[in-house]
Order: sequence, then structure tokens, then C-alpha cells
Amino acid sequence: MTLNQNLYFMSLVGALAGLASWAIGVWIPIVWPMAQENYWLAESINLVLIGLLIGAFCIAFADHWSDKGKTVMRPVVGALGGALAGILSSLTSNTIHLSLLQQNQFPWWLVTLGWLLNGAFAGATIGFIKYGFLMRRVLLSMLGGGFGAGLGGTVLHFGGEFLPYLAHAVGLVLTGGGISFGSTYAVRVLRGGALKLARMDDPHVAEVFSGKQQEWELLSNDYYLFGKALTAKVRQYIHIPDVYMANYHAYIYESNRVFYLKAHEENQDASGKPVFALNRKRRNSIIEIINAVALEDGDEILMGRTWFLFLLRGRSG
Amino acid sequence: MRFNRKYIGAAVLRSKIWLLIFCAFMIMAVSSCKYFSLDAAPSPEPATRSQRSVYKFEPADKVRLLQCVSGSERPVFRITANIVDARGTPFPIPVFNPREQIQIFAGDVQIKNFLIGDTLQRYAILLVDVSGSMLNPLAGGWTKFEVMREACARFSDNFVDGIDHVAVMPFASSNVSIGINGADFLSERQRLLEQIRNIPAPQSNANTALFSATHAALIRLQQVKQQVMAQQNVDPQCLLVVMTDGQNDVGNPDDDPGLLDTSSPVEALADNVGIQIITVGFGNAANLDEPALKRLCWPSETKYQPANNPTALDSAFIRARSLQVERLRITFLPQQTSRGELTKPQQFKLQLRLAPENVIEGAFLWTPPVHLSPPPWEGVLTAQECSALQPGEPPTLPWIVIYFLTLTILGGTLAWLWFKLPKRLWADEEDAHKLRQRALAVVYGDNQANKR
Repeated sequence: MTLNQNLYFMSLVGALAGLASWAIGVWIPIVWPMAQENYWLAESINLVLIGLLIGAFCIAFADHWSDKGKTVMRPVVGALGGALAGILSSLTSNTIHLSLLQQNQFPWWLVTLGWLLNGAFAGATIGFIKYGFLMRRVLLSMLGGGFGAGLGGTVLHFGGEFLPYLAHAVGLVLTGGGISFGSTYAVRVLRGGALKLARMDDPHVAEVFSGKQQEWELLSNDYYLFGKALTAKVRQYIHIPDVYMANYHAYIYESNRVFYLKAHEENQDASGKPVFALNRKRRNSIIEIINAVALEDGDEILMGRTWFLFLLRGRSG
Repeated sequence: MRFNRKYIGAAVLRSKIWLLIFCAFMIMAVSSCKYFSLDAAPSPEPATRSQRSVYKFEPADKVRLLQCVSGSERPVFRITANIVDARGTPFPIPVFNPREQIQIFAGDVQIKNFLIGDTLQRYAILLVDVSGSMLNPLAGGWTKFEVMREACARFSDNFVDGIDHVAVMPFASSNVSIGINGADFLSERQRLLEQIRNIPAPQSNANTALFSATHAALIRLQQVKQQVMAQQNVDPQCLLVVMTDGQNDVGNPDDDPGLLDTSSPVEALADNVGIQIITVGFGNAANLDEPALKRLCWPSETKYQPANNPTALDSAFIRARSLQVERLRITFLPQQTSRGELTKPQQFKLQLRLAPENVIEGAFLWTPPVHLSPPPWEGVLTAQECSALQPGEPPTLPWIVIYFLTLTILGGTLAWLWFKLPKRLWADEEDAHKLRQRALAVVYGDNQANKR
């Protein structure tokens, strides 16, 4: 899956989560009559539901497409994080709402602001789950969520009276799509380069990635470990099921705005040479990676029997 | 990977313009806050602006959203109001010919379908101070405590058995919550008078947990109201009367722990709950905290009643009772035919024409929840009320049809975006991929390449 496709489908996943949260949440006032002093409770439940669904959907699909789909723990964490975002946003927006109501005021932008806050919190929380405490990425994720949700609130504001239920649903679809778009786009904006799967001579690799046109974003200040082991205790692990690769085969990392390729310790013999194939091909010259080797745009990398194409930011995607 | 630029959506997706749009949106939001400042937001027109009457309508409850009949999506609003003068003194409601005298407007549109009155139930709490200072004697030899009991009895003068439900809740500074939550609402006048006679005498060292007691009483009344609405489908007329001869005085060794020392939580709760609160200050400015007593009132500080002698205290309780009894309750159909359309605040204006030149007015605001789902119902009208309100109106489209229609439209759109559009967006990539597969098949000439 290319980066553009990833961005597109992740946005759709968010939109799907938004639609699901509308389909469930719209029943709350139907089955549960309540006095208006308790509206905040229905609001909070609704917000938690939205956060929960978007968190779970986004993480589950992202993991599925990046071949990490074997664990349910991350989607559960995503759901809990989204729910937490819902609680935070309901606390904030309810506080603002009540303080304005005490002054008997209801400015037109209050609805949009409430949605914007919700989206921003949800986006930030999902950003935290996906990227940890990397503030720029979390901030971009938050902006995307706020933008989508703000758009959703605006749709509701202007369309709510004419197409009430459709406007609500469209608002939530946009909110979900915006949050997911923002958290995915954060990676695109901040990536330093990308690694594209170019040729798969190993049948196991072909089985997994054939037809997917797989690309991986390479973010600055991150280490990317490649290997055939199913899991690794590192944050950025890319599983390539090539039998001619080591369990933990090679690293790609960035230092001083230059990306380097280096063999993992498990893939080195006593003299430091790679045990399994690890080559860099540049303009028809192939070298074996012994120490860390700098990568340039257009370099081809061979790991086991799988070829990758390295692209710097600007050319990737 | 090469990108098919003929699709505008994909081009936008690729560019960084999203970030710019978001920044522009934020700037617009901030600038609109400036131009649409809180002062410019829709707010009820103060009824005192009416030049034609010294009286005005004042809310005795929040504007409530009701369901016309169970299962219907047709919204109904209910306004409950008193007619008061500028000092908050109630005025008996002189409605003889409702259709001629009363007019309701939603914005500028006059509403024709309305009902006056409903099934009546009244709930009141008399929250009375029994701190040590209530033992102080007054001129004439009576203590404040004895005078207070007499005044409470006056509240029950026009008590109607079965309709009125009154709880007398003495409070000091110990066992505040227990006393308030343990008090019974009495529905017979004799039992009420007996309860008033049996109010325990104050203890000389007891202090005044005014804010905590008011807070707890308000919560109790809110709970009772919600119970009655849920169990009997009746929206009761509620009132909280708070009488004190002193100021909030807590934090002493014998007081309950955690008592409120500020009125802010009570004010916030009162604004949220929308139950009429009348405070009565027995004494003078020296021993009372009048600003705090005014702040505790709802809907306005005119509900504060100073009483510096026994007669004034009697009058304050009688006046409080009048505010509960003399209420106009109007139930009406707004223009919106579906609850989902209620996404914006609704501004209503109520007019009562006493004479051609004498019109009493009041403004009322209903605000929707901020987010996500249509506003929940707060109660249901009876079938008779509903049919009286909307005679001959065709039924609206059932909600469940709208629900599934919306789900189908949006689900179908998402499915199209998922399965169909990508094939057009990334047609070049598809073609390139197929070519690669063919080339590999030629090079390797085996099934493995086909698989690739």
C-alpha cells in the first residue's frame, strides 16, 4: 500500500468509525429520556463512544495494513485511549458550555467549538498511542482531528435544521475521517524518507505483500528494525517474512539528516560481515554492508532475497 | 510512485494544503470569536424593557423539551413562568380567555398551537436555619425560632392535600446531609403542621452550613422531581425556600467535615437544575450576608426576601407560596416537526394582553446539547394533550425509517469510496503493477512469478 493509499484508506476507516458511533450513539436519547440538566451525561457517553470507536478502528486497521494485525492489545489500548479522549473533551466542552449557559448565552460557534475540541483531543490521544511522546507528530494528529471535527460541527450547524439526522451523521463521519487523516498525515509530513518494496524473490514475502505496493515511512529520529521474526521489542519493527533474512536483519536510522543502513548484531559474523544478504546497490555498483552505510535517494537495498527502493522525502509517496 | 493527477480529490490529498486550510480555519474561528462576541450572542430580551407594563414574565423553571406522544419525534416545549413586578413580587395571573390574551413567538413566528396548565403536582422544601442564633429573643418575648415556625405554618395556609408535597428541613452545621436526605415530603396539611411544630429546638453552639444545606436540598428536590416525572409522567412545580438569620459559618470543631465555604457550587447547580430558589434573610444587614443570599436565588436575585420582623417573615413565606401557586404553564408545538432539527437555541417570547395598552412580556431561551445526538426528551405528554395540540396534523416520517435511510446513504457512499474510487484514483499504479507481474513471469517463467 502506497503512502497515498494508506492516507486515503485510513481516513475512510476513521469515517467508518464516525458512522458507527453515530449509528450507536443516536439511540442514547431514544432509549433514555432525561432532564436537560443531565444532557451533559448523554453528551459524555456519546463522546466516549466516538473516541472509543475511532481509537479502536484506527489502530486496528493501521496494524492490519502494516502486518502487525496479530495482536488485539493495541486496538484495545486504542479504544481505551479514545475513550479517555472522549472523557477529556466532554469535561472541557461541558465546562465551557455550562459557563456560557450561566450567562444565558449560546454563541453560534459553541457547537463547532465543542466538536473541534473533541476531535482535537481524540486526535492527540490517538497520536500518543501511535507515536508515543513525539510532540510534533501528536500535534499534527491533534490538528487533523480538530480540523475534521470542526468541519463536522460546521456541517451540523448549517445543515442540522434541514437534514437533521443526515447532518449529524455526516458531521460524525467527517470527524472520524479528520481524526484519522490527521494522525496518518502527521507521519507523511514529518517523514524523512520512505522504503518501497521493489522486488520479492521469496515466495513468503510475495504471499504477504503481492499486489499491495507496500511502502513504509521512515521518520527522522527513529530506528527501524527489519527482520523475519514475528515481533521485536522495539517501537518500529518491520516484519519481512523472507526465509533468507535473519530474525533481526538490519537497521535503518537517521542521523544528522542522513539515513544509514546497518546490519543487526544477529546478522553479523565475527568479522562484522552480514550472515544473510544485505547489500546496497547504487548506479550498478553493489556493496555489502559491513558498517553503517549512508543511503541516498534511489538506492536499492537487498535484504535476503527481497529488494527495497529507498526514497528521500519529496520523492516518496 | 506516479500519481494520476486528473482526479482533483487525489491531488488535494497529496498536497500540503490541508494544513493551510486548518490554519485558516483556526484564524477564522478566533476572528469570529471577536466579531461574534458573547454580548452579541442570542440572549433573552429582558422583559423589563417592556414599556407597556410594570409586570413581566419570569421563568419558574427551565424551558422543557417534551415528546408529543411516546414513539413520536414531534417536539413540544413547555414554559413555566410567574408574573412579577420589578421587585420580584408575584402578581396573580389574570387569564380569562387564553386564545385571545396569550401570544407565543418563536423568533418572529407566532405559535398557534398551545395548551395552558397541566396535571398539577407541587413539591416544596422549606430549608430553615436552626443554628444557635435562632434562640435569640425578639421584641415581644418570642425567639426567632418560634417566629420561624409560625411563618412556616403560614406557607401551608392554602395547602391542597394530594397536590402539595412539602418537606421541612431544619439545618445547622452538623448532620446536614443526613437531615436533608432523611426528611419526608408530606402530602397532608395536618401532618405538615405537626412536622413544623416538632422542628427540634436549636442547640446554642450550632453553626450555619448555609451553602452545603442549600446544595443538598437542591439535589434532593431535583431527584424528587425526576422521580415524579419518571414514575407519574407529571412535571411537578418545585420550589426551594431557604430561611436563615445568619451567614455561612463552617469549619468549627463540631461541624461536619467538608462543608462548603463558598456559594459557587450552589449557584452552578441552581443554574443547571432550574428550580426556583427563594432565600429569606431574617434580621438585618449586620447579621446577614445579603449578597450571598441574593446569589443563591434562582432565577434572579429579586427572589431574595429580607425580613427584619415577624410580620415580614410571615409575608416572605406567603410570597414564596404565591410564587409556587401563581404560575402560568404553557405547552406548545414549535415549528420544527422533528427533534433532530433542534440544533440551535430556541428563543421564545411570551405575551399576555391584559388590555390593549397593557401587555406583559417575557423572553425564554432553550439551548440544545452541544454535540452529536438530538436532545433527549424530558417527558412525554399524554395522548389527550398531544391530540389537543396538533389536531389533524399528518404523522411525520417514523424515526426508524430516517435512521436506516441515513445509514444506507452514508454506508453506500463509504463503500463506494472504499471499493470503487481507489481503482480510478490509482489506475496507473494498477496498470504498472500488472505490467511488473507480466515482466516477472517472462523472466522467471514459473508459477511463482504469476503469484507475484
